[in-house]
Parts: sequence; C-alpha cells; structure tokens
Amino acid sequence: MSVTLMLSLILLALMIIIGGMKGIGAFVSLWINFAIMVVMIMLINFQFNALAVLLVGGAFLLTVTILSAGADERTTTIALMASFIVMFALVILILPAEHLAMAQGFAEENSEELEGLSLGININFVTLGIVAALLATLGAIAEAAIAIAAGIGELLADQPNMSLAGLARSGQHLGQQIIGTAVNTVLFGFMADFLSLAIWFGKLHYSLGEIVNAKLFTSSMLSLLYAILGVIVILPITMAIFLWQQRRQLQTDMGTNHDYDGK
Amino acid sequence: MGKYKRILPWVILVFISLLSVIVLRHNATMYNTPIGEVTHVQTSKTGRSSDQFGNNVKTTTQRVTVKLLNTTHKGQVLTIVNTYDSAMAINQPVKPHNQIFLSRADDATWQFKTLKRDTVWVPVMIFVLGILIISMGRAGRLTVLSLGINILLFIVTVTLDLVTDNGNIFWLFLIFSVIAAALTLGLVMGFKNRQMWVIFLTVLTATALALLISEIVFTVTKQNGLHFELMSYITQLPKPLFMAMTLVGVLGAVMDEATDMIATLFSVQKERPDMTIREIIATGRHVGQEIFGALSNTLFLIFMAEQIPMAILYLRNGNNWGFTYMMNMSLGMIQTLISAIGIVLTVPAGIIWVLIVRKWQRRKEALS
Repeated sequence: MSVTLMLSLILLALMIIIGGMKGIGAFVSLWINFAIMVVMIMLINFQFNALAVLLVGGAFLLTVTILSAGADERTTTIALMASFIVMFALVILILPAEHLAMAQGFAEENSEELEGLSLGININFVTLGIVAALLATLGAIAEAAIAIAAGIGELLADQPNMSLAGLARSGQHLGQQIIGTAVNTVLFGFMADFLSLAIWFGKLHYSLGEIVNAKLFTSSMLSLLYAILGVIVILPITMAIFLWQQRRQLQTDMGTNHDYDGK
Repeated sequence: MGKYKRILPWVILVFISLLSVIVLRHNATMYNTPIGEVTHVQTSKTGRSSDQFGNNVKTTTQRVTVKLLNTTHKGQVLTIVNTYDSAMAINQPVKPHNQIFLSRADDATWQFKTLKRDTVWVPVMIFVLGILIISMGRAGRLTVLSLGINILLFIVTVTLDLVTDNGNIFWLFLIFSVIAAALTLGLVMGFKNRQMWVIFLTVLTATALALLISEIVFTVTKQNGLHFELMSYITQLPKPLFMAMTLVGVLGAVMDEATDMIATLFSVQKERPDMTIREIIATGRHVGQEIFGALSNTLFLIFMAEQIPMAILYLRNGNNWGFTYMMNMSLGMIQTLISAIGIVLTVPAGIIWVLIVRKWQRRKEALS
C-alpha cells in the first residue's frame, strides 16, 4: 500500500470517528478540491485563458471549502459572498504587484529541477504566478469567513435584541481573535514551504541583499502578504454584509408590524 | 475633528509606504553588487523558437542602456543585452526605470543578473502590517508582534541548523515549535492563564501524534510512493527536512483549531459548571467538526498552489499526469494528509486535556 493511500484511510477513519457525517464531508471536500485543482491545471495546460480559469476555479474552491464546514444556510451564504468579494479585490491587487515584482517562474536555484525541460512553453509564467499566489490565499480566506460569519450568527442567536451598533462592536471583537489565529495558520504554512529554501540561502552564503531581492523569496513573501491581507479584509466585509442583511430584515419586519398596527 | 482623527493614521500609512519606495530606490550604495537603473530600452531582434512538444514562443532581444548607481563606476553609462521569451519562465523583459543587479563577465561586458525586487514587497508588507495595526488596535499590534517573534525564531532556528552543520534539523524545529507555540499563545492570552496552557498541551499532543502516525505509516508501507529526493532545494538529508517542514506547517493550523475549541469549552463550562463528561465531549466535537475541513483545505491550498507552475511546465513538456503528479505534487499531498490528521486529532486531544484539568481542579477543591 502506498503512503498516500494509507494516510488517506487513517484520515478518513479519524474524520468519521470524530466528525461523523461532517467528518466525511471534510474528507470528501479535500479530494474535491484536489480534483478542481487538477481540472484547472488541465484547462490552463490546454491554453484556456488562465485568469478566467483562475476566477471560476477559485470560486469553486471557495464554495467547496465553505460548504465543508457544514454551517447553516445563512452563515454559508454570507461567508460565500464575503469570500468572493475578497477574492476579486485581491486579484485587483495581485495583478499589478506581480507585474511590478516580476517574480514569476523559476530562478537559478531551480536549475537542477529544470534540467532537460523546455522552458519556452506557450503559457506565460507571470500569469501562472498570479494563479499560484491567489489560490494559496483562498483556503485561509474561506476559513476566516466561515468562522466570522458563524461567530456573529451565534452572537445574534444569544441576544436577538442586540442593536446593530452593539452587534458591530461585539462582532469586531470576535473577528479580531479569529484573524489573530488565522494569520498564524497562514504564517506557519508559508514558513513550512519556505524552510528548505531558507536553508539553501544560508548554505550557499547568500547576502541579505541577495535574499531580499531574490525571485523565489519575493514570490513567497508576496503570497504570504496577500493571504494575510485577505484574512484581514474578510472581517469588515463579512460584518458589512451581515449588518446590511440584518438592517434589511429589520425594515421588512417593521413594515409588516406597521400593517398589523393599521388593522 | 473626529473624522480627521480617523483618516490621519491611513494618510500616515500611505505616506510611510511611499517613503519606503523612495528609500529603497536610493539605497544602491548600500550594496557591493553593481546596481544600475535602466534609462533606455531598444528591441534589437525578435524571433520565434519552438520545441518538439508544440510549444512556440516569441523571443526578443533588447539593447538596454543602464546607468550605474553604485560601486566605483557610479555614474557610468553602459549597454547590456537582455534576451527573453514570451513564457518568461526564467528570463524577463526590462523596462525603463527598472533597477537591476549587474554582473561583470569581463572588463567590457556587463550582464543582467536580476531585478531589484525589495522595492515591491517591502511597501506591500508595510501596508499590510499597517492595516492590521490601524484596523484592529491592540489585537492588531499583538498579531504583528507575534508575527515578528515567530519569524525571528524561524531565522534563529535556521541559523542554528547551519551553524551546527546538519545537527538534526527535525529536533531543532521541534524545539522551535514548542517555543513558538508557547510564545504565540502566551502573547495573546497571557502566560498565567490556565486556558492558554491547556491549549499549549493540546497543540503539542496533537502535533506529536500526527508525526508519530506518519512515521509508523512510513515504516509499515516501506515508504511506498514517497520520494523525499524529489523535494526542491535540498542541501542535506531530505527526510528530516521534510518532517521539519510538516511540523511547522501543521503547528499554526493546530493552534488555530485548539484555540477556538478550548475557548468555547472553557466558556461553556463557566456558564454551566455541572456539565457532564458526555456533554463536554459533544460540545468539543461540535466545535471541532466545523473547522477541521476548512483548516485542512487551507493547508492543502498553501502547500499545493505553489507547485502549479512546475506542474504545467511538466505537462507542456509532454509528460503524463502520473509522472507530473509524482514529481511535483505527491510530497505536498502527503504533507497535507499528515497535517489534516493533526488537525482532526486536535479535537480528542483538546477534550482529554480539558477533562484532565477539570478532574485535577475538582480534586484540589475537594481537598481545600
């Protein structure tokens, strides 16, 4: 049996024991996301427009990740709306930043891996860099969006008569805690990815100036920063959607009450 | 006035970000490597190049006029040649006002080495950290502080590994993880907080169990389908490095989940001190279930997204999917699975530690 298969079976068993039906959902979501990523790679390989594939595929990845939490309908809808908005906002930032940094593709550090490969392929690596950078942020964005939307929902369920201002204040407080831990998740994930390269830089005696301008360092650093930014802006956007929905609901409630008063 | 006060920090932030751009564009004299600013670019030749896999790219040769910004040749104007193709996998065009690093092949010829890139990421970093601090107040400052501390710890641990010359990187990062977890959690919740230490124990237990399970699986399967030698940038024994990377990756996610779950368990217990063990288990599972799927996917995307450019390069070079997956994605997937196991095990680990602390506390109360 291969390592991947055995680890998958252990994970499945643990997820079922500990999470029940939701555990199965979480396990399946991981493999659906894998399949989505494979399809995206295939489409880009067939030279479909990479940015279009990125946005559509990204939306699917966000949806699957958010559905994997198995939250109630309202939380899911709000988390989906908020994370879609943040994804589009990040694309607007990532596009110019990646074109300015020109940290795409590979560098001399990759030469061993690139041996025997033809680098002049029909797909532009700046675009591929944008695809990679945005996809890396999406999980963290989805996770923070559900946590915040679910948290605010619980606050409201506890105190249904809370004023909008009160809800905004408590939501802000709750959201800050979620962001703090989510930022750490992202940081440690990227540090793990960067570890081998960090040791490479050290072993080959790169100077500080060489490291901070290196292609591979810059691209990792920028991806990390996009992910952190995504996690931060998910809070005000989720709050805004929640409050907007709440206000609309209050207005319709008041409207119906008014009718009753009239009778 | 109030409105003014709210806008002011943002104005300052934009100002500092722009200032950093200006500073970084004028610090060439701090480098020993020659840096030049591109003043003029002329396309001298274009052509096409193709390979046997049906790839066909446009190649361009640029004649670039560069003014040196540092070294003893400062102020000297020179011309270099830069060739790139439309894929830009390892080469790139240069544009006027780009600052570039140069190397000297011989007295007369200079070559384009790489772009000066800190002018892009440093302002973005200042901007992102600034948003954290301004929009989140104290919580934001603490987050920035813990980011800084963890990065510093990471650098220290990498340095220790280099100094000890392949002392065991895995054990070094194990110590790193214990310290990083204690500091990160302590900073947010306070070091004298009992809840913080329960989270800390949960994080260590879940992480250790996940690594132990993976080690057992590696042994039982005789590392079937596991190719440590395919890791990028290997300079030492690959397996300890892989385990160290997995350890660091899972740590953040496990801390995230343990914090959420145990905070909920503590607050529920405070409201209802008479909760039965069964109820505590049910609550813990309920909170855990909601997060572990999303957290596993978070790490999955961080580990795998980075491999996409290389995977596409493989496919465009006529390789099949099986080979492409094995070469580029199999290790990331294994890392994701080990991390996901750690994330799931956080739930029982947390519940057990909460129950142990509860029992211990009751015994103490009974004695007094």
